[in-house]
Order: sequence, then C-alpha cells, then structure tokens
Amino acid sequence: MNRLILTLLGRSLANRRFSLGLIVIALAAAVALYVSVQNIQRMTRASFENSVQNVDLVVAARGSDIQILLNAVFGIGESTSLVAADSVATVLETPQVDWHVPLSLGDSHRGFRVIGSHSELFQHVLAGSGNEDIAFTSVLQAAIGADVAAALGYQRGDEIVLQHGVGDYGAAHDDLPISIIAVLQRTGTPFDRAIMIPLEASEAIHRGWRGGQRLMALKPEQVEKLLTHHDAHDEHHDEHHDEHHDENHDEPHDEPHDEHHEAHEDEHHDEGAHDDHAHGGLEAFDAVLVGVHDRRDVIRLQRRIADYKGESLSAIIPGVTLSRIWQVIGVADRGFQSINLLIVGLVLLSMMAMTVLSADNRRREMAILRALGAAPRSLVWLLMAEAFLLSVSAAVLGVVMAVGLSMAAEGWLAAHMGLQVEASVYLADILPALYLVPAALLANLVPAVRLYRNTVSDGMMVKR
Amino acid sequence: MPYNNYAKFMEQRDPMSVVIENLSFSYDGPPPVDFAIADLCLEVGQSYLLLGPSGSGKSTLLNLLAGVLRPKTGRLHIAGQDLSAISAAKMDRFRGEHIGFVFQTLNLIPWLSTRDNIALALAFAPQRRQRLNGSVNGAVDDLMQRLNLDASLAAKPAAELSVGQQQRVAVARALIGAPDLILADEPSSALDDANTQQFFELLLNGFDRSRQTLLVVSHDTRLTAHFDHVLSVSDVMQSGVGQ
Repeated sequence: MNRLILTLLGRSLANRRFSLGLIVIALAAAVALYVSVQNIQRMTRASFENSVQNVDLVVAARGSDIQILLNAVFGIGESTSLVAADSVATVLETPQVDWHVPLSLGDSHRGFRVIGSHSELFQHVLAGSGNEDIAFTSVLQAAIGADVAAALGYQRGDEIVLQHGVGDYGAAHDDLPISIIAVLQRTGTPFDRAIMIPLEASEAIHRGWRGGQRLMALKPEQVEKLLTHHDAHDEHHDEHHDEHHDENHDEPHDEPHDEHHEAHEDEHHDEGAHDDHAHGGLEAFDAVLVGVHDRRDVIRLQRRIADYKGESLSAIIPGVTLSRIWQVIGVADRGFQSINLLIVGLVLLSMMAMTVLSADNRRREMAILRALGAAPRSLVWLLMAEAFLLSVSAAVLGVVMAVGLSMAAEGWLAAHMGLQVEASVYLADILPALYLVPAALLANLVPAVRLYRNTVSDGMMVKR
Repeated sequence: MPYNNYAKFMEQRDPMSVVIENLSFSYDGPPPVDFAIADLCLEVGQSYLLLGPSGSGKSTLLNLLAGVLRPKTGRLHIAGQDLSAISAAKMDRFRGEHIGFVFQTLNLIPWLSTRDNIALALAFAPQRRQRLNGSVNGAVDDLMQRLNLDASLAAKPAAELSVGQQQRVAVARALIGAPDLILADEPSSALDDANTQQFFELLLNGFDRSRQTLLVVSHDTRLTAHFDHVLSVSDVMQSGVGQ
C-alpha cells in the first residue's frame, strides 16, 4: 500500500462523500441503537443491584415479591397493607439478624417520595456511600437525596412542607414544617431522589389525619414526646393506618368524624376515593429492610418470617427477586435485540446495494486502473478497504451516538423511573459495534466478486 | 525497418521493444473470430502508426500487447519479457511497469486532480516510481512543463480541464517513469485539427527515443507524416470468422 494508492482511495471516497455519508450515518444509527439498548439494559440492572447490595431481606405484608421490592426500594407502586411493629420485633428477634430498618412510605414532597425511617438507614442500607454519619437528633428533621437538593435547590437548614400522598393533589402537611439537616452524598440509588425523615416525624405528621385530611394537628410539645414514647401509644394506635385521601376535599375539615376510632387494618373503598394508601408510622411499617451477619442464614431467616403465625408476612431476597424481574424483562430484551440485529442487517444490505451500483458506475474508472497496472484483485482490495473504512467510521460514530443516547437516557430514567443509571459506555458495550466491520466486509464480498468479474471481462476497454 | 527474424532478435534483443512471431488468437464467439500475426517487430526509439478502419482488429492487437488478452499460440515478447511465460496477475504488474497508455478522451479519472491523475500511473508500478530521477511531484511538474500544461492546472480536477488539456494530461501519465512501450488508441479522435497537430508534436517530441517505443493506432490517414513507420492493420494481421 503506497501513498499514491492511499490518495486514490481517499479522493475516491471524498468524491462520493454524500452517498457514503448517508450510508455511514444509517449504519451508525443502527449500531447506536444496538449498543444503547445493551447499555441501558446493563445500566438499569447495575443501578437496581447497586440499590439493594447491602440489603439481605425485605420484609413486608404478604404479597408479590416483585411488588414488594419495587415499592420498598424503588418507590414504584404503593404498599396496600402494613406490617405491625410488634410482629417485626418478634420475628426478627434472632441472633442471625444484624440490623433491621423500618420504612414508612406514602408521602411526597414536590414529586420526590418521603421515606420515614431510622438513622440506621444511613449506617446500614446506605453503607459505603459516605452518608453513614447522618443521624436524626429531633423529630421534624429531614435528610434529602442529592438529586432532590439539586432539583429543588435546597440546602441544609431549609424548611419544607411534606405533602400527603404521592400525587399532585394531596393535602399539605403544612402544620408541621420539617427542616433539612443534611444533603446526602450521591449514592447511585433511588435514595438520591428521596427525602428521609425519622419514623417519628412520619407518625407525627399523620397523627390526627383521616381520609387524607387533617382533622387535628399535633402541638410541637406533643411531637417531641413521640421520641420518648415509642411503644405506648394505645390512644392513637388506630388513627394513622387506614387513611385514604379524597381529592374532592380541598379544605381540611376540623369537625370530628364518627368513624374516628374504627379498626385500622382495613382500607376504605368509598366511592370517589381512588388513591387508597397506607401510612406507616411507629406502630406499623410499609416494609422492613434486614441485614444478616452471615448471608448463608438468609434462606433460614426467610423461612422463619414466612412461617410467622402472628401475621402474614413475606420476606424477599432482593437479588433473587431482581433476577425474576430480569427473567420477565429478558423476553422483551431479546426481542428488542433481534429487531436491532435485523436493522443492522438491513442497513448492510443497502450498503451492499449501493456498492454494487457504484461499482457498476465506476467501470470506466476500473478500466483506467487496470490499464495502469492494477490487477483485478487490487481493485477488489480497494473495494474492501473502502468497506473497512466505512464500517469503522460507522462503528465509531455509532458508539459516539450511543454515548449521547445513554446520557439522554440517564436523565429520562432518573426523571421518570427513579432509576439511577450511569451514562458511561463500557468496552463490553462497544465490542458488539466492532462486529459491524467483519459484517460489512462480508456484505461487500458480493459486490467484490461482481467487480472482479467485470474488470476481468472489461479489460482496459469499457464498451459503452 | 523492423527485424523479421526472431533468432536475430535473440542475439541483439536490446534494440527490440516488441517481437511477435506466429501469434494466433481467437474470440470464442459465437461466431468465433480468429486472428493471426505472422511477425511484427518494433524497434526501440522508433514511432509507429498502425492504420486501419474500426473493426479491423486494432483493439484486439492493443489488448494482446497489453496482456489483457492472451495469445493462443506463438511468441509475444515485450521489452525482453516473454508474455506467455508470466501469470495473469504478474501481467497486470508488468503492464503497469512497462507500458504507458493513451486512450481516446475520458481516460482520466474526473475527480482526481491533474497532478494525481499523472502520478496515478506510478501507483501500481513501484519500479516505474523508482526510475524517476527525483520526487513524484518534481517529475509531474517537469512533464507538465514539457507538455505546455500550466502549473496552475496541477490542483484542478481533471473534469474541469478542456479536452485538449485532458489529452495532454493523458500523455503525461503515459510518459511518466519512462515505460518501454507507449500505446495510444485513437488519441486524437476527439481533438480538432489544431489540437491534433499540437498533440502529436508533443507526443512525438515527448517520448524518450533512447529507450522508449511509440505505437499509435488510428484510422486517420492524415497522421502518417508524423511517424517514422506506418503499418497497415491488414498487412500485420490476418483475421476472419473461424470455422
């Protein structure tokens, strides 16, 4: 390969830059699609797995394991019933358990979900993220995730008002503003998009609420008392579990309701109430995250919880549940990938068609090169070098486009799915793009054979 | 006059550029067409005009000389090389190294510059490249000057040149690196009289009589005055529809 042939190749490509450019863009787009789907899939999975890496079991009221995991950790869906604090205390009273952290869910603040929990959440669930030192010192405090702080511009010391429920229509808990004591360092988990408050705060802001409306407010001194009265709240026991809110009522009612002391274990399904949700507090939780000393005990502990007679409980192993989710999603993934490969194939086919056309149009050029001493195989070689250059540029461009796409996907997944994905493309994602090169060379064998036969029969004269 | 004796050529091969003896060739047809050349010798340093109407087998002869068509029987030597003894792939390389071509118009690559078109003759012929005294660019500049091509044309795409300029670029491409044999096929068919006159002056003054041989194939009898030797296709070649 000398400089003169390189010049010839370069000028020849430059001369056809428009049609070749279109083919490269089409190939690159197909590659980008293929790589992005792989990439987004991998990022999504890594994000999910990262979120539960410290959690060995999730305990919740008996239900679908996928639903429990999505609700407890990823904030997707809602819990329909709660687990009693007593049951949790009893069933987890075993030396196998290292720690357990209750979660009280169901409130939100400007679109971000609120999680009621203990300071142990930071020490255990978020261990390794640099947030272990965060601790609640009073009731009406909050630690907010990095994305919440970034999105809403909050800082330490700001006061916020939580909203009842997760929609845009919940009534405000404006009687008890909460002050921000910490902004979490980024964890790469859904906790980045959450507001953590003490369980007592969750209890306090729902005390005196019913049916999504505030009936009476706690006074600040009553709130402080919550901290010291963890276990003896019989007089309020039944007020905070069975709420549903009703968007037809915008103004809080102050009149007492007759059903004030109704049993708490059932939700109401009144007409007009379409967003029933339970609220955890001190006496009952939406879910409990559990860590064990020795992972080999997880199965035994899971059995113990499932067999608990006092209440119907489920204990799920996050990793196992995640793989069940991947199995379900995997079918769609494979369908996606097949379609992507088909697209790549179709673009290669059009590249082949274009090469045949251009080789036919360039028979005179080929005849001139033959006269100047080019063997037919040299011309085939030039054609293959072209295919090589085009496919390499398409692969590179495709990967660049894929990086752009995953950056876009990062924002979208975070905003719409609460999934924390990292917009980086790994070597493993790029490698499939490189398969384009041999595929393109293979696709160009047909035009190459045709070119070979034409140039041999044309010789130096093109009959026109 | 050309030598007619092969044995004599073998004794003094240097003066001979092309030697053909008892060559036969046929197209498979249908109908099959046979060609035969009893003998043809072209001497180094001489210019030859091969006259004949179209369809008389001129192109066949050119293709045989270029090695694109291979003779069925007989001897064909160019620059001391027996062409029947080398493979098709080596033939391509041999053509690039030893033969320069000028065709009818449209024999430049339109999107390459004048300079690149001329240098292209060296792309597949490394020995021809080595025969240059200096750089490729220097050789191109020299040739352009000798052929009255303005230096400002060097960077211009061939498609933007006039027909006369294009033919001169084609001559430069045939001459660069001094191949042993220069073959030209109806090189003036697209040129007007003035251009034709000038073109042949450049071509005949341009080739190196110490080592090159020029063979022009044409049907134009007005060209005879320019050449050392004038041959008639019908004298050189017997052709006919075979059995």
